[in-house]
Amino acid sequence: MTAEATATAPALALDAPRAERARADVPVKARVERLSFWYGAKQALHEITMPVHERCVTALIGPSGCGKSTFLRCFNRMHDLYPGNRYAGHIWLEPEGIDIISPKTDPMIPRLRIGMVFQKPNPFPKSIYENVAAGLRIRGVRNRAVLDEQVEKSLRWAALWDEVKDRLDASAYDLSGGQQQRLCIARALAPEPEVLLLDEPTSALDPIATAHIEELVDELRSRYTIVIVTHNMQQAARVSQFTGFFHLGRLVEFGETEQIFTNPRESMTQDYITGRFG
Amino acid sequence: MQALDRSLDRVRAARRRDLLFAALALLLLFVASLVLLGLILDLVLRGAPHLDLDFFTSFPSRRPSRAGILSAWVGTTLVMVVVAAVAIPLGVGAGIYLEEYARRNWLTDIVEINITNLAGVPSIIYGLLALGLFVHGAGFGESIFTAGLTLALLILPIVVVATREALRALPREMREGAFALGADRWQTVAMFLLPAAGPGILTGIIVGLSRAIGETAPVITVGALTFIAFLPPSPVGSEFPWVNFDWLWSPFTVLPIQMFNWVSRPQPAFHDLAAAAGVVLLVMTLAMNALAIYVRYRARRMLG
Repeated sequence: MTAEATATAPALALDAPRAERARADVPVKARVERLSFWYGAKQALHEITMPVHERCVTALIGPSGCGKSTFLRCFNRMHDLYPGNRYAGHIWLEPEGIDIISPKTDPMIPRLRIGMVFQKPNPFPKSIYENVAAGLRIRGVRNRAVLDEQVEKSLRWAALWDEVKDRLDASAYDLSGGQQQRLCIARALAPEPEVLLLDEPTSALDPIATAHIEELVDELRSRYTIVIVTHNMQQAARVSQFTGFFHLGRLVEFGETEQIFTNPRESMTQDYITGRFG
Repeated sequence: MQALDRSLDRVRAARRRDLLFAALALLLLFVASLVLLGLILDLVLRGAPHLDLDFFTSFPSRRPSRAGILSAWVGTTLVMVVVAAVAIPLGVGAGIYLEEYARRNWLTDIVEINITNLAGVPSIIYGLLALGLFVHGAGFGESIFTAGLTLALLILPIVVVATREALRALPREMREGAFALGADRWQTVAMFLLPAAGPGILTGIIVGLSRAIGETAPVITVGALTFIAFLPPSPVGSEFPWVNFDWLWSPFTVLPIQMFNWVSRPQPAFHDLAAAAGVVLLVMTLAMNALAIYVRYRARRMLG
């Protein structure tokens, strides 16, 4: 690590490996600091340190089982739903500096501020309208006019409005897979979260639906901080500004997407990106 | 050519075996359903001539021509109201707690084993328990309330197990989706899981109630009367507050007991009356099952 690199990342000059390299000129929405995670006795994440930049897309890539989804699910404490899981380290959510994974932080706090879209579209067995309104109803919104407005706005953000505006009362299960996934995005956007987590959102979709969602992610970047897990390296290169490469539960390299894909510092990153393993 | 012959032999052998098995299965099916059909047919043929309005509006009598099932069907209805009011909230609540709230430890393991075993306890044992606990211990007497509690206890494991299984069958993505939106545990259960598990839970409830409606032994044990020529006090009155619960403490009889009483008489005319009451009981049970099937069918259509 050179003096020049340290100068660009003053906030993260810990003893962490060279994995993290925050851009000082881009504000940070969350700081992951020496995060480790265990499923029972099995350690799935090892001392991960990296920034999540505000209003940027951060892509997490790596071979299957490398821990990228596990890492993503730490941000909204999804692991708390199952017994025997344990976190160590910190994820500081800015600007307040709340430690998301501290046992003292109620898991509802990050979940109310961070939205998530899952790998498989998982709409609720309700109408299209009620799916989008669900997050608002959870937050106690009852006013019909407010709900109507926010449902329309969210469906427009998710580029689904024109396709469903005439059948908001139809079951969400009547939609195609790609539409269902955009509905799930609208559902996550409706409460206007600060961060949006996307866990391989296009892995179950055909190329056209995938292109739709990639365009969407690019547009949403102006309003939201997005973290996206993807198997698809072209996708990471297309939609993200920052990329983290995971392998065996460790963050091998983190940097600006262009640098990762054109001039990786680690030979392992180079090998993965060029398809020599993974 | 030889290879083709060999595979043709295999196909022929396989067809023969399939045919043999299908014939055997069909035969067994016929035996089983014919016995049942015969029983029902006999019941209907003997009971049908008695099924007129008088039969439903008359009290039991020593003269078969004037005897009816008024007190029995009113008793059955009122007892079932108590059973439903007790068993549904208790059973569904316990199922939700065990599946969604309780942490897995030795205590919940014991509760779980016990509930499974309770479903296999002979119903007369519940009657004996209720005789000691409700009739004498708690002083509820030989009343509609006691019978309702007893039968509710009897079907509680059915409702609990059905609730748990309906909740467990929901995909974990649904739970995760709700929690990820910031829902608390109660919102997750009430807004998302219960509506989705509703048809399964309702099926369990109706299976339980159909079981309770036909039970005889525990109701006799807690002291249902076999001959009763009056109705319990009306639940709705003409004066404020227009409802009263005196009927809960009234002596009563139920359809299966009325049948039991008539069957044990020597005169054959009473046996036909028992058949008629049997038809009524059968129709009530079938109606509940039909309702369960309809509800499931509708729910499945809605979910696509």
